[in-house]
Amino acid sequence: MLRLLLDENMRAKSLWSAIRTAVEVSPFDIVRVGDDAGPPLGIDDAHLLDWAAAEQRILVSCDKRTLPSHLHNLLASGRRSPGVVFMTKQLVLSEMAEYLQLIATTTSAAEWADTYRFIP
Amino acid sequence: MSITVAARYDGHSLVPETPLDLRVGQRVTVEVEVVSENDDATGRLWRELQLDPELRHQIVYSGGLLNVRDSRITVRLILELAGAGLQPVAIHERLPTANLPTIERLVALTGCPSEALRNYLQSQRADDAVWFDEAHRGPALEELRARASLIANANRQVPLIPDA
Repeated sequence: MLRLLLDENMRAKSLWSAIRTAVEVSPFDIVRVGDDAGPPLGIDDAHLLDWAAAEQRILVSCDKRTLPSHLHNLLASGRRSPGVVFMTKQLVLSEMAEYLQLIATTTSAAEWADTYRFIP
Repeated sequence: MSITVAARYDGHSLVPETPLDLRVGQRVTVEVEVVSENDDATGRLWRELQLDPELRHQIVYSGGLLNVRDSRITVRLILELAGAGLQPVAIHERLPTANLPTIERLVALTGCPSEALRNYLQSQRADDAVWFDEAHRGPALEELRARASLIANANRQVPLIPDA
């Protein structure tokens, strides 16, 4: 089962509540930037990608930021990444939670590794 | 106290592009971060925001990004959510680590966007076109639901007690 890391821009209480409900139905491992088990709030993109790689967690964000270019740099330096997922703002919160659960439980690490994907 | 200032090197001195709250003769240390030409639209917006007394200490320009201070929340994301019709309180609910007054002020700027703001948003969209192509499209929610259904069906077909 894949492990996930939620970016700081996905710390809405309502989303977290929907995720906790989904975890109760079908457990999966997810932490947020700013949680005790996660990297600190305000961390820059490069260090966040490093943290996610070290912890083998797919980073999930809803802000395109500069993550693709930093991921490109990380891979160019010979390192690996579990991957980055950009969530669309079109999904409602319950669908976002469901999507994250399905990433963790129905997909393989190879589908996300060393790349970024945006969710239509 | 630490502040970030846009400046231009004139061959002899670093000349700030916005006023500084410093007395003449004040000694400071300077850490230089080179701004690339590609950052121009972002830099111009940042310099404009530096003239806004409500935003000048709330927005940080670093690594090519305009962030709300002490957070990973970008000005761009707030403006996108505002463009999607969300009110400041709703944006704050989604982005609780960005303070509400800063969100309110940024959203107010979209009411009558300046040239710098329009150029910034245009440059961000152009950047998206470079990075977010069809090759990087992930599976749709419906596709993942179908996979989950297949997995569930397969698991139901596995006998609990193997045949002898």
